[in-house]
Amino acid sequence: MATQKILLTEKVTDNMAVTPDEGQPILEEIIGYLKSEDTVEIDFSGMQICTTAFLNVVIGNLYQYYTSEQLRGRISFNGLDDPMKERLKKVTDRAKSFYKNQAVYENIINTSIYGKD
Amino acid sequence: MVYLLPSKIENNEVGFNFFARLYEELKAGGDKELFVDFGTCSLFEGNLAAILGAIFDVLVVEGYQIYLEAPSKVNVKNSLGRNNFFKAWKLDTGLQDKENYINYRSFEINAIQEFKDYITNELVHKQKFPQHTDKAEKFIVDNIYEIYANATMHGNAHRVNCCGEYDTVSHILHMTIVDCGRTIEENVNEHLKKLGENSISAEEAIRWAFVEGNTTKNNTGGLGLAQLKEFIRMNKGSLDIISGKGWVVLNGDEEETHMLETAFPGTIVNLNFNFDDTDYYCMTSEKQSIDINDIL
Repeated sequence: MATQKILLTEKVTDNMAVTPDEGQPILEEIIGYLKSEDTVEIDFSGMQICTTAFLNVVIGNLYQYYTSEQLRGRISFNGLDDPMKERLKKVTDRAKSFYKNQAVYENIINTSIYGKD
Repeated sequence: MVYLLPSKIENNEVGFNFFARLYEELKAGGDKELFVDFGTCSLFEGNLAAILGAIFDVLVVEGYQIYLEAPSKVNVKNSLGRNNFFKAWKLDTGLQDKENYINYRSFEINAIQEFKDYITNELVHKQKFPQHTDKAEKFIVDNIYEIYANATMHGNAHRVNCCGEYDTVSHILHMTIVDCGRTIEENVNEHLKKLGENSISAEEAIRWAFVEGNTTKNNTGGLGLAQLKEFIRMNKGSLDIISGKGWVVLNGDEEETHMLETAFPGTIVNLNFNFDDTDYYCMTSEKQSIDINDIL
């Protein structure tokens, strides 16, 4: 098990992460490392802009595949200033709630349509 | 064709309905040379010049030539001269910009840093803007930037136009951010259609877009606009969002919805900041630090 470092300034143009499309390959890279049992360090140092649209894809979408418990200890952050930290916390809180409710919603559909839990 | 502007153009229903039909009215004559006459216009609230500029920009792309006829009324000369709108359209009034105005700018879609610098220097650094820490400043600027990002990402807009004016009587600073891209109604209904849900009206679509968690992208999201709404609520200011025929006013905890007579071909966001606000803004994390291990 190795620690893979992702320096965001190397992944986006001009230290600005704006669109969901910019986030998608980074999400896929993170998932690839997690599947290989590696841990991932995501470094925000030098980033000027990270929109919620970008963070929702890179970090928020991880909750589609992993629980909070699974992600803790496997992913760490570096170079986060306070506003970015607060923004990221809102994104993860929202994602946890979104995917939790989605599971409940899908369960209701399964039960009511297909008659199974 | 000579187009005579109405006598009063204000931040109200009459004013917004005027802008909603303006694009079609300017094209109706079929003449590619348009002379816009301010001669009988005695009141033009400065922030609304952003909407006029956005419509002009679209017409220029469509091959129209726009010429402005000098205003005769001092009020109009001042409000559109001091925010440099006239200068941008080659009409030199010789007036200097002033602290009461936010300069008129027309941004291309990739001018990200330029837009953020503009919001920081022209708006948040205004002497009377509510006091805040550096960290809160970054947060406020990032949230206003989300309007620009939405226009360019979801609206497919080619440009984003902005300017503003401080009302010395009400102590409200009105700032307008406009794009002539796809409307919120079009985006939201396209998204709902993919989900197999019924379409909703223009004003319902605007309200939907400002709810935390709602996004037209197929993932978790929709935080940017909800956070801006929350800041304006704390500031006791208000927010007008016009898109297509829908017009929603967010004022404190209240929401008013209106329908325009004609659909505006894009989205207008009016940020109305209360400069009597004596509160001091800081991030929650400055009072109680967020543990980096609690983020995930």
